[in-house]
Amino acid sequence: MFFCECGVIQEVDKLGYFQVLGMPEKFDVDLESLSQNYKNLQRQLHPDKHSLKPKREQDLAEQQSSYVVNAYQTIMKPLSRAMYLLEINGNPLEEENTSVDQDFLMQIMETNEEIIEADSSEDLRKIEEVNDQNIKECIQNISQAFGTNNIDLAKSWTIKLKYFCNIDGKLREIKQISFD
Amino acid sequence: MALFRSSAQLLRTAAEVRFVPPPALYHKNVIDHYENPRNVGSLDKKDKSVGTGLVGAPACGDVMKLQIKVDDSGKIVDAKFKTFGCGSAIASSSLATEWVKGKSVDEAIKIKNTDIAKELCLPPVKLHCSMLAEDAIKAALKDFKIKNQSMQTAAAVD
Repeated sequence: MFFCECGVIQEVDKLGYFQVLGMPEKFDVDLESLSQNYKNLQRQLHPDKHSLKPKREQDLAEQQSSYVVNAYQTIMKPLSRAMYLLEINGNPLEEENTSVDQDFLMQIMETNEEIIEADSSEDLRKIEEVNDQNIKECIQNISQAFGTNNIDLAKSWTIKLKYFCNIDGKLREIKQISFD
Repeated sequence: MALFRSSAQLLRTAAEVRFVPPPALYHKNVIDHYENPRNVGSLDKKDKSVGTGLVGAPACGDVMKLQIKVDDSGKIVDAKFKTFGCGSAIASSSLATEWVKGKSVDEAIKIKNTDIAKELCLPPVKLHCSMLAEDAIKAALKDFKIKNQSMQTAAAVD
């Protein structure tokens, strides 16, 4: 991986996120091995381990450590993992207005309005319940689509997941404010 | 293959996925529209003089609705918007409603995203927000045209 067998730290940034973390390049990820591999790498790259090594190796260890953090955070969460897989398959989510289903956009619009108009935590809890279910459904469908190598289908579900995750973020924000 | 992908490409991905600039980094023109959005609200989308545009930016998960009300002479007499997204998307749609009001349908279609971006001093990473606003105007105009064409056709059939 990053280390030569002699223990000298090598340049590594040509590896993709999955490879860096020693995981197969798939949407379905074993989170336990992911976290284990991540911890092992961070232990190996810890600055204390390299304090007596040449400056160049220390710098490399630091760069790689932050690359490993990026890789881990991207692969850990289903949404960023799906977006990353789409990107490396040459089919990333676009920033422009592209064929997002009108009925779906209307549904998202309405959910956002419901959140604004909600006047009890009970209302919000109901919205959250539905949204959690939607997130689950998206993840299942993304997994299936990537499993059958249907990248376009994986993309359309990832777009939906992005919208539902935004709603989730909003609900969490409101919760935090009301608890403070 | 995957092993030799450039690091620049990978780092860019990571930055785009996670980095959202805090409001303090917005230009004052954006903050003005963000804090005092003009023309927030809805028009009756069933009204035949109303055109509705509903657009989305998949990578950000933004959704934008822009509506226009057109009088008999083809002038846009009212405009409303509702946007759930970042500050730049809100400001772009707010400005778009201001600009379409008072214009004719033919003038409104000429509004360019580059003009919106320039007015709001949007940085390059936020240009797509102004494109979304342009798309919303176009979609609203198209909806209005389709509605009124079918009214004409219906009248002709009668």
